[in-house]
Amino acid sequence: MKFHVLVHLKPDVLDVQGQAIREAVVGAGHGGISAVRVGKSFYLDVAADSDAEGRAEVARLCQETLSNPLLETFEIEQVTA
Amino acid sequence: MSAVATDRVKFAVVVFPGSNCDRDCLNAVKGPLGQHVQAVWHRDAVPDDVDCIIVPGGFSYGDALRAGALAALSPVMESVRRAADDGKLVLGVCNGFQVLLESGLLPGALMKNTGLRFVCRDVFLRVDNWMSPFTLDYGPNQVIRVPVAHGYGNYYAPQADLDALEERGGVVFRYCDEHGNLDSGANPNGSLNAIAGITNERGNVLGMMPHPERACEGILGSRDGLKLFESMVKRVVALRG
Repeated sequence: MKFHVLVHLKPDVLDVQGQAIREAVVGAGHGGISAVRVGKSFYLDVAADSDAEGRAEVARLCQETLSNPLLETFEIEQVTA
Repeated sequence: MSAVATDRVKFAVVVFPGSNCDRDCLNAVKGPLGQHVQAVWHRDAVPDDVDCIIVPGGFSYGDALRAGALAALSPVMESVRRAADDGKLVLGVCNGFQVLLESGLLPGALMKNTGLRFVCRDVFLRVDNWMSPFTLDYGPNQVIRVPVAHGYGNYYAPQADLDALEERGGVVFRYCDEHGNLDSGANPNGSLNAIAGITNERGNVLGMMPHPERACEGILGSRDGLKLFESMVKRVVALRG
């Protein structure tokens, strides 16, 4: 089964990259862009006996490694191939 | 080769794929400090007879995922954690600091510098805790000059953790100007409370972004970093009794 994971900074953590991108694109004429947040996207193939088990494994991985829980949050979504 | 004198303090420098300050650390300990030192590959374990461990700077695993995140999973870190639990001295410099944070040996996290740029220059540090095993040889609030070279040195911790860190004297070094003043222009990366280096609760694990090992010989422009290593040696010798 396949999972898609999105990791991004918590809303209260300043995203300096996102801020720099926003300033640059506004300067380039995209005045309508009022905020940019940058994140990471992962696609995982997981071998597990059930969807729930696969999702639980991915959640553990997110908590332990793919995200830094101090700074980041994550979202997990199962995707059909 | 001569046998290792048993009275010399034994250092180990951990080497990850992508470490690039390991040789500077080996050289600082072997040369100016005059102690015994060995390199330990990340797939091996730090030998039990080692007194002090240095986790050096660099770009372990090419900074993939997050700086230090994958190195924290390396087999060697189990022996580093055990040594820390045993009260041995563990020093993480730059990427080594990031590794110790990602390993949970120190609290907080390091984010991208607020200026977004890689900062590579000398900075001044104020020794805010001069009673730690790493700063015994420095004076109260002494100002020292050492280089930084990093893109992810912006120290962050949630407010409650930050307060706890400050309360227990866990902040050992802060970025300052040459007179020891904490103005924001002296902070190269936007770290909260101008934090440059912190210890764990027990005080035997220090993580810092600046590079003391690059400031141990006159020819390098500063010898201010040598006292940090000398403090470690003194501590180990004192505990031997």
